[in-house]
Parts: sequence; C-alpha cells; structure tokens
Amino acid sequence: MEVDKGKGEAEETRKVAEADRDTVTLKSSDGKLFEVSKEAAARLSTVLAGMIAGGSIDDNGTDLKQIGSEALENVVDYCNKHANSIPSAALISSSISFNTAPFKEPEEWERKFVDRLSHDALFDLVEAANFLGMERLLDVTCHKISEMMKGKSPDQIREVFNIKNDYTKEELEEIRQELAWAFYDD
Amino acid sequence: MPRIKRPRRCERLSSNAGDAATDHLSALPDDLLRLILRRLDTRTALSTAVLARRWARLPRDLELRVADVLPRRYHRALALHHSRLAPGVVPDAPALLELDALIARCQRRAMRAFADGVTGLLMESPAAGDGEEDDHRRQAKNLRLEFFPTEEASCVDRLIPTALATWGVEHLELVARPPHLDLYDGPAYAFPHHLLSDELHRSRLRSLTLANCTLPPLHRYSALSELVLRDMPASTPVSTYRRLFTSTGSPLETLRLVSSGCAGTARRLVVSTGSSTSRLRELVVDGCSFLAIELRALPMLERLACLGRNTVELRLGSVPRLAHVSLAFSERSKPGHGELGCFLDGGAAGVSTLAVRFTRPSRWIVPRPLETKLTGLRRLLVADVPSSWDVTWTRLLLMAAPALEVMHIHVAPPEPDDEEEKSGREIRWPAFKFRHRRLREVAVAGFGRTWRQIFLVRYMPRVCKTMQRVLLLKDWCVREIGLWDWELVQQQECPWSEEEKMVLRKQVKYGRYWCRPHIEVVVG
Repeated sequence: MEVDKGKGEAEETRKVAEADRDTVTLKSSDGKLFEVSKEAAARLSTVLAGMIAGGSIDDNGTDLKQIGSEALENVVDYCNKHANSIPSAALISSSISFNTAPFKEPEEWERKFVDRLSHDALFDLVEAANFLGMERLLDVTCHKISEMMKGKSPDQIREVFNIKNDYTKEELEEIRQELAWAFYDD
Repeated sequence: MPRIKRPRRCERLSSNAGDAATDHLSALPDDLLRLILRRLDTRTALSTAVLARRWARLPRDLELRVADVLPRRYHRALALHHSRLAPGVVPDAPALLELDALIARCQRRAMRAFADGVTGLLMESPAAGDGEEDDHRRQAKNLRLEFFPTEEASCVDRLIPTALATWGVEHLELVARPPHLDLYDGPAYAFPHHLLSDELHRSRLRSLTLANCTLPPLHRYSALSELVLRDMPASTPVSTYRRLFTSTGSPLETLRLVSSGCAGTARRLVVSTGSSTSRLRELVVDGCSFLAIELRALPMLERLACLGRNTVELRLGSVPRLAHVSLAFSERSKPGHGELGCFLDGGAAGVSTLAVRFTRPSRWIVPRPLETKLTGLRRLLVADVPSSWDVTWTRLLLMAAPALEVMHIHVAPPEPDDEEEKSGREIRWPAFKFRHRRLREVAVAGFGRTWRQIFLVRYMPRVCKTMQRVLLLKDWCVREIGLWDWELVQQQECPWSEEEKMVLRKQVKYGRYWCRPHIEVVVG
C-alpha cells in the first residue's frame, strides 16, 4: 500500500480508501472486512470516534462482533453516501465554524436508503446504528419503523411485525376499555 | 477500548427459519422502542399497549390531545363558519347558529372522550401496596394535555396530582384551547396547585408550560427551572408578569413569554431592582403585546430574545452577564434612532453575540454614530434587511463594536407582491479615517451586486487589515440554530459566470490605494 501523506487528497474518497491512514477497517461478526473513511466514521459514530481518538483501531480490521456483514455493509454504505451528499455550499458554511444543527427529518436520499432495505435488514441496521452510537442513522431508521406503524390498528401492527399477543382475553378486553378513547372515531 | 455492551434480547434466527416467525421489533431494547413511539401520533402510540404485555409497560411520553379526537367535520364546520363571516358575505344568521351548535357539540363530545382517556389513565395507575401490579405502573417524564376548558376539564385537576406524585412527571404542559365562542376574557383554566399538598411531589416538577391557564405561586415549586407562558389573555395584568421576576426564592432559570397579552394602555413591563435575587438566565419575549420592557436588574441573565410583530422598546439596566441577544424589529418602529438605537445606546456593552432582524422596510436608525461602544461584541448578524435600504448603514455597527470579529449581513429579497419598492435614501458618509483591528470575516447573503453593496464590501477590507475572508453569497439565507445562533445556507446555485465572479473578487481585493491579496473571497 502506498503511504500518501498528501494534504489535499482528502476530497477524493476513492484515493482515501487506498491510503490506509485515512480509513478505518471494520470487521463484521462473520469476518468480512469493510473500509470506511476515518473522517466520516468519526463524524457519524460516537463509538468509532472514541475508538479512533483512543487509538484502539486495528489496522487489520477492528472487530465488531455484534454486527453482521450485511448490516455493516449498510452502515459503511450510509457513511459513504453521507459524505458524498454534502453539497458544496454546506462545505463553505461548515468551514466558517458554525455549529450545525442536526436535521430532524430524514432527507430524500436517506428515505430512499432505508426504503430499499428488507424488513430484516432494517432491524439489523437499527441495532448496528445503536451499537455504534450513530445518532443520525438511528433517527432515520426509527423514523422508517414509526412510519410502518402509523395509522395502523394494533392487529395490523401485530401482523406487520409478527408481534405475539401474550394477553389473555380478559386482560385484552380490560386494556382495550382503558384505551377506548384512543379508538374513538366519529 | 470503549465498548458499549447491550444485552441482546433475542438471538437472531437463521434466515432459512422463515421471517414470519421473528419479531424484530419487540427484540429492540426499551430506549429504541421509545424513540419509535415518540415519532407516532398519540393515538397509535397509546394503542400499542394493546399489542403485548411488554408494550404496556413501556415508559412513554404521555400526551392527551383533544385535537386527536376531534372529528373532521369539526374543522370543516369551523372553516365554513369563518368563510360565512368573511367581509362581503351576507350573514345568514340561522345558518350560523346551526354551525355554532354543531361546533359546540363536537367540542363537548371530544371533551367527553378526552375525559374518558384521562379516567382510563387514572384507573390504570394502581393503588399503592399492590405489589404484583408494579409492572403496570406508569412511568412518564413528560405529560402534555390539551383540552377545551369545559366542565369535563375537571378531570385534568384529578390527573395532575397523580401524574406528579405517582408517575414522576417532571415536564408538564397544559394547553387550554380557547373554545369557539369564548365570551370569558381571562385564563381559561386554573392550575390546581391547591391539590398538590405534598411538598415532595411538587418539588419534582422541572418545567412547566401553561397556555391560557392561570399561574400557580412559583415559590412552591423548588425544582422548577423552566416556565413557558403562552396565549395568556389580554386581560392579564402586567403585575402577573412582573411577579415572575421579583418573587423571592423563585427557582426559575428560563422564562419564555409567547403570544401573550397584557392589560392596560401603557403595557410597560418594568423589572425593578427588587429582582436582584433572580436566578433567571434566559428570557424570551415572543409576540407579546408589551410596548416597553425595562430590565433594571437581572444579575444572572445571559440570553435575551425579543421577537415578534409588536416592536418592544427595550431598555437595560444592570445585566452584567448578558452575552447573547436576539432582536426582531417590525413595521411599527418609529422613525429616527428607533428602538435598536435606544437599546444599543443602553446597557448592551457586554453582549458578545447579537442577532438583529427586520420584518418591514422602515428606516429605524439615523446615520450618526452610536453613543455607546459595544465593547464585548464579537459576532453580529443583521438579517432580513429590506433590499431598499442603503446597506452601508451597517458601518455604524462596525464603528461601535471595536472587538467585532464576524459580521454577517442578510439582505432580504424584494417581496414580489409589493409594487415597486422605493429605494431608500443613500447615506452620505463624511470622509474620515477609521480603522478596525479585529474584524476577520464579512458575509453578505442575498448579495445582489448593487453598487452600495459593492461599496460596503470594498470598504470593509480597506479599513480592516485583519480581514481574512469575504463571502458574497447571492441566493443564500440565514437559518436559525436556536434563538441565538445561525448559519448561512445556500438556496440556489449561483447564476453568475466565472468572469463575473472574478471581477467581484478583484473588486474586493484591490483598490486604487490599497491591496489585500491574501483575503479569501468566496462568491457563491
């Protein structure tokens, strides 16, 4: 691998990926390796930022035993997309050193990013984001899940998420009565 | 190595076991489920308790809103009612009466459902000592209730003590919606502080938001650090607000007055020196009907925002810690030095961040140097400057602020529905030598290449040797970050060609008698 300490190279993510000083190698639970730019990893994940700052990054692949390769691939994909989605304008304004507020609503590309995920992959990604302390990704994925629940009756929600009803009939009737007003419809 | 350990609630089933069997959602830890529940509407969020036992136990933010149970025809009827009363429409009395009756009926029905909801919540809360029910005990930090102040609202009185005592609510928001046809001019709902006899329970409350409700005596809530008063009726005496500052032992650190009215013709809020024990750090007055606010002594005040349509005459006395100020000025400003001039000439010397914005084009400051120096000012935003103004007036602020480092100016685009806006008078600047030693960045958002703007951006580098960066941003606007911070964001790509940009860069860097080749000029 070439050792490239050139300063102006940072904008080209592809080049960055080759110079191992600017990237972090992550290893999934099943041993697959993924590379992600150090800058994006540190910016988007509090856990990775802590590991980078603490020097506990392994050049041969930092073990993330809790995350499967599919989820990790999505995490890395998200980091890369996030890095690319910053418009040139934001680059200028961020360098003026304003504290930028976190966006609340997911952006268009983030919506598309989670929309294409399968049900399983979505939940794996939520857990991975939670584990890595990726607040923004957690926001986006939780938003997606809440959208899957919105406007559905409890029975429909149970069906979508395979939730097992462990109430007895009497209990269910009782709790339904307590919440009767929530089901009130005119 | 920092590791976050999280208990795994369920092992992933191998993928060929069929996805039908796995309940990924319930496998998530409680805090993630809360994140999801928070994003749902109240009805769906509450009804998830029916899903399974685990879901009934989840701590959630409790929110009961009468709006959630108002039928759609209520809103249709209201809209119809308003359209019938529109100017130019012949009033049809019987039809209006019928509409009023329908609206009132909807409100009553919704409030009955709301009361049922409240009762349901109360029933769920078990009697003390019932050990097995412990799981079911509600845990809620936040409670938000929005209701019509009808007879049924008495259920709220019963709910609040339970919420504060049993559920451990720390953040409480009560919104009394003014009912249709409200003839009573006064706070719609009386906060039931008399029901909270136990000191311990009261002391847990940390933030309280009251809309259209009477205010309880604050000294009884020793943990209450944030108070928001919204939509207080126009009959509220000024003394009610004054007491917020002066009552001894008041624990308030943040006070926000939003869209509130006050009685009297003077409508002058004077915070006298009697408030010297006040712990208030943040004061926001947004869209209230005060005509004047005078803060004679607030020793801890750090952040002040005064916004809204009605311009307030603001005077400061002893506010030694005041560092961040955000002000908005509107149409009704008097000509001349106006309110901003008064304020700046007052006690604002220590302020380090100042954001000023305007809502309508009326000149509010005369082009003569300010009397006081803003010696602490480092960051300045002047936003929504009407495009008809001669933008060079901002020099006055520069001259008054010797420590200023960052200056951002935003020129508002001309309003399309306004017939041609008359250009304001040009300011003639007498020739005199002025040097600034700190300014390092100037940005003009909404830059339109008018000659006064170019004059300004050439002037600044000329008088400031320390200048590092000049930003000329065409279709950019200001996005607020909270009330006291901001950033500039691009709205559209800049249509100017490279040649045009180059000319601008040259104009900023080089003059007949000076050159500043090191300055970074960003045109976008």
